[in-house]
Amino acid sequence: MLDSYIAAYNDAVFDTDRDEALRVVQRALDDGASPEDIVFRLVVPAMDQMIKAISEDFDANLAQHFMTAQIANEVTESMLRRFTAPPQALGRIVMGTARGDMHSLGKRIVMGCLKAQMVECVDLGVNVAPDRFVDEAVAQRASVIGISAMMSHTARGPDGCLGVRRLLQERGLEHRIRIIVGGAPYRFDPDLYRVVQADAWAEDGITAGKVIAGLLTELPPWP
Amino acid sequence: MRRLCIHSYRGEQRVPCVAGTVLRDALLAHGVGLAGTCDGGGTCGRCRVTLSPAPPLTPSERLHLSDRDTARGVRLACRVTVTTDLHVTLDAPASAGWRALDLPTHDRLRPRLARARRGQSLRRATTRDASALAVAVDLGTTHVRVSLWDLWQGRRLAAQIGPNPQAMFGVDVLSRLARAAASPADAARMADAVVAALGEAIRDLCLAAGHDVSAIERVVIVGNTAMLALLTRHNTDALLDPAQWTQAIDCTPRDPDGWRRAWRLSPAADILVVPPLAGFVGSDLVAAVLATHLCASRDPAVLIDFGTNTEVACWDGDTLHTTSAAGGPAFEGSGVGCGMPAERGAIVRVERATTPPRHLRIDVLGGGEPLGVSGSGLVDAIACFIDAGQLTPAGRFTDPRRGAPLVIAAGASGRDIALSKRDIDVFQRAKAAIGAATRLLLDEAGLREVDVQRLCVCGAFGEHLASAHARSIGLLPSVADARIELHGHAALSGAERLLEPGRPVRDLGDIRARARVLNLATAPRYEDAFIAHLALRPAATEEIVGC
Repeated sequence: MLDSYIAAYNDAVFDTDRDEALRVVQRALDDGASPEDIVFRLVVPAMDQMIKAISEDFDANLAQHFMTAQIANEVTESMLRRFTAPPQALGRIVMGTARGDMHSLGKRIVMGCLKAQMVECVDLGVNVAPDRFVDEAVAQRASVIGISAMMSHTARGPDGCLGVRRLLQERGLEHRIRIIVGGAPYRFDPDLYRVVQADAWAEDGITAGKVIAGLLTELPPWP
Repeated sequence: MRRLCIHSYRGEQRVPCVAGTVLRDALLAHGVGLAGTCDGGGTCGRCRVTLSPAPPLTPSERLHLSDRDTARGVRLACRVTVTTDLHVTLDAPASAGWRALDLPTHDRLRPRLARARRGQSLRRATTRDASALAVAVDLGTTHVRVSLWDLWQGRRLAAQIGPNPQAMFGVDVLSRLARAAASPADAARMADAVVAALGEAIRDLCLAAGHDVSAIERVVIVGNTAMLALLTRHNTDALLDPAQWTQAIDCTPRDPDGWRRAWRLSPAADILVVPPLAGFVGSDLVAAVLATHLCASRDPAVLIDFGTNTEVACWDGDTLHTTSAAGGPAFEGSGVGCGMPAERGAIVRVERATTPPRHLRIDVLGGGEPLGVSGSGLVDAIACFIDAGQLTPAGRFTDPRRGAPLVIAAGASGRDIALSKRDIDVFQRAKAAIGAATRLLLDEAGLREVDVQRLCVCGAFGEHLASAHARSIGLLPSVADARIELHGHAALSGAERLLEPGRPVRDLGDIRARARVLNLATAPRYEDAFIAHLALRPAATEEIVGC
């Protein structure tokens, strides 16, 4: 039933036509689709497709990606409010950009994708110091810390992931909290995440959802 | 030991290289700088070189380079480790040196003769034949503008524009700051490069005007904060820390005597580096505000100083709201494939013919064959492609042929001057950053577009920008043509006014006292506004509501 809407929704998103995308969603809902269907079978696959198109096309347009992610976020947020049962979260992540890094758009897209995949996200904003990552993770009882870095020096520097790792060690939190990193420098050097002592990295929001789901299974729940 | 044979527009150069060195570092060590914004991180794809023999491709190069390029040996210098002897071919730089800058000849400072008559004490008042000169400098990220003045007559003798030689360390502000923080030796080289370039410009200008460099009494330098910090070697680390971005940054020269010696000035020459407003709002903006008399009346006015680091000011009659948006060098002709500065051979205007088949008509600066497209030509071309339906406001190409670029004109070398998807993307993101900055400043000042009595467009576009095209794609806010003023070199003009002591210096103080700095990085609505401004259509005139 939903199949006929998938193509129409994808077209609208590809054209970054927000109003048309929302109309397609409304028609699908009127036709009996559930808000859960819209998120899991419409929004997430469309985002996945967009990400694939971008990673395959060296000439891809990031501006379009930002705009389509914005539409996806908007649809997801409104659908989440209409879920029949409260969304069952896989787990919770605190997320921010590394100290010194003000590039927030990648994080924004990834968080949109994570929400659609039922990962609860606490946004710590940009330019987040290592101790704030750790303090907030503890305060929010989050199992994963997500650190986004778009520049080489913020990815590799001592105030980024390396600083967070040092604090987790010092405070004896390593058995409870995992670190996932993302951003351009990790994409170009797939081993960089190990160099900066992260547990994992993900190159896009959809992959991040899967990787985080994996990390969560290794961890005991917060007491 | 391996050998590199470097082929460039300068000729051929053979240099030794230790096996295992990264090619980009090896080239830099021999004074060959390449474009780049990621400090060798493999993320920006700018440090292109053509290699023979071509080494195997890395994932980063697959992403950044087309199949056609990789097949002919194009690689990214930061991804290549030297293991064998290599032939390295460099692209010709967009602009290779200094050239004359055409400025209005009617610009005047108050002649010293007039002031002498009013009884001011003057050292040389009696020796009328001794010259008294002054130099104004606008130190931009991509370009440096320098002018030479005769203080007796109060008129400009000549002016020059040239590339900022630091571009070899990184095309944008952040990559240069990161480089300076990582390597004190490179920080010193960046400062020295600018001091040397300024010396060259000062010497050339004096030579052409037939004056002696020792007659220079005053040098006034304005620029964006990072450029001033890199020049004076102050606080470059602090500028990488966002907490410092709204703080005042000290940019007084550490060793003005060293500069005087390097420039062969008299030991008594006065050197003033006009202090920036904050970590990301430079004295170039203050100078542009001074030159355009933005705060001279109660009328609300907006000034946008387009450049690699675009700064925006919004005057509400009482307070000057300022910010900057790091848009990248798209408007200065070095961010897009066929981009070039607005100099001879540049397409500066593009229009669609009014009669079918409505081909594009181009204006080439200086006539002749087009070599590339300037910032203003780029704006025109994009507006025309949207108008023709070849490009959607989202930035999508409607031509179903994958990868087919949008052709502006056939180039001189048989290569089309054309825009790729990536060029459009770079432009969209730059203009969205500036659109969002302008929107947030207007909101901050409580102004609507209709309230804006003057929109001063300064910087990279010069006098060529077609305001209707710029508005149609949302580069400029919706302000009527009659209220739009094009000021090509406002920051330099402001620096020139400061060559004269007294009133302008007091005005500068007033402007600083009334200025407030908005840090977009911490403005919660910035992201929404940025995304709303990505589309190539007229900017929304209402406040952006976050969703």
